[in-house]
Amino acid sequence: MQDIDLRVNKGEIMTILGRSGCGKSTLLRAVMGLIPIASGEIFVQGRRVDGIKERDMDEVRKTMGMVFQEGALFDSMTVFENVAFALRRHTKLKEKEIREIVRERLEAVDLEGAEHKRPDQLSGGMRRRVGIARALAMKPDILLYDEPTTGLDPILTATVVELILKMRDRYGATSIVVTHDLEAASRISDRAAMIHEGRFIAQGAIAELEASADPAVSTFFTIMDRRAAAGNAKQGRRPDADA
Amino acid sequence: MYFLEYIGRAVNILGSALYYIGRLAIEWPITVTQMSVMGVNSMPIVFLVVSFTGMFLSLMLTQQAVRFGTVEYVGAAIVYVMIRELAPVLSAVVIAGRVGSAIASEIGSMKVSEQIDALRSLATNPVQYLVVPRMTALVIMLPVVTVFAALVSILMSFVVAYQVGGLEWMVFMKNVPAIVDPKIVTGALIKAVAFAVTIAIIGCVEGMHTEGGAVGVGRATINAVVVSMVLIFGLNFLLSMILFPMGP
Repeated sequence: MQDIDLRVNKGEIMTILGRSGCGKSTLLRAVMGLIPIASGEIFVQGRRVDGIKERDMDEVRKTMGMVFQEGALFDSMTVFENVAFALRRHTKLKEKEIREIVRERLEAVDLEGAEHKRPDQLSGGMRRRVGIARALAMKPDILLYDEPTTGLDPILTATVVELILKMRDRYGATSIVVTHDLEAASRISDRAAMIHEGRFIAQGAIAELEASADPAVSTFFTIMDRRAAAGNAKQGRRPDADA
Repeated sequence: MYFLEYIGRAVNILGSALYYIGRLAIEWPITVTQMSVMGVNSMPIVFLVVSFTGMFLSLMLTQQAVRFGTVEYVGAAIVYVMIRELAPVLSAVVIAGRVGSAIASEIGSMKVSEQIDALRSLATNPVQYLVVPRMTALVIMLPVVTVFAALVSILMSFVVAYQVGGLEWMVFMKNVPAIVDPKIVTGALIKAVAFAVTIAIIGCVEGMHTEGGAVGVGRATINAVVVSMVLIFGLNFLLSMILFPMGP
């Protein structure tokens, strides 16, 4: 990736758009410090985080939450243990208080009562919602979403979109959402940026990107619009397809 | 190049693990669970393997000793070989197969399903959370398993010596004090600790660097067992030379 210059404001939902394999998730991982960057600077809440020691980065990570594409839930733990993980490790809260926070986070993602289930007993959408609850457990200032709607049916996609908005409104978290789902992006984004071949080629509101004269941007929007239309037509022909 | 990279990864993980162990930042609940899974649960299969090895050794030695009239040396030879070499090596080999593979596949599955990244995103160091408990558990349990393995194998060897050559316990043990000294036992325990670190680190290195989905997990599992076994035999030779330079 080259020439990446991005600033996300507090409380904002910034969407990173682009085709699969263009480097969107890599950018998110770099922000979270999961991969090193060869050159450049990354600041999180005013603190430079690229190249800092892992132990220092852990302190920064306590103020951030990341939602992984497939949830990345710990499969040896229950839903409760997954959501309680960071609270047990990084706080001195009593078990009763932790139980209350977990209950509240699971309620926020409409999964109350799923505490004792294991990840393999959950559907893809439920896993993603548990992933969101786990990322929210420490009430982070920043939330990073890696392809939160990919592979979900339209109903679950709408649920996750609502959740992302709810998390911003309820917890005031700054969010960076990586996606190639244009419909979801247009609903959640305050601003968006588009990556093409490892570079940012456009930034602004979704409407501004849509009106962009850049051929790569307009091609992306055209293709995604066509896909969405085809998907909607398919849904129309077979309304019971997701039943 | 790959060889150097592999050593670099192993040294890196070992260094990080020792850092946390040195600071006593050990996850004891996970460690205790691993001690049970790795040590206690491995005992039956280890005992079975060392018993048959001891019985075979006893059968062979007793038959020859009866022929040459040297039965009073059978017990000493078996006890010496079992404590110094076979109990540590066989226990380690069985545990490398059973536990090393489990470590690599468990951590490898976590790697390919992004659980390792999830751990890091939750401000948890994977070495501290995954490697340290496994390494600590093995370092504690492998010497324990080795001691019991030696005792069981010696007992089973005696049963065969008694059945085949009619050796009484006193005859079987007659020359043991003369040949087995505390240095042999200490050396065996040092070997067990070295093998434990090897099995844990190789399993973790393979797991942490797994790529390529389910196929990658399978490959990591095989590599963990093969590399651990080769290292156990190589290390055993080296340690035997260093620890017992002049014989017993």
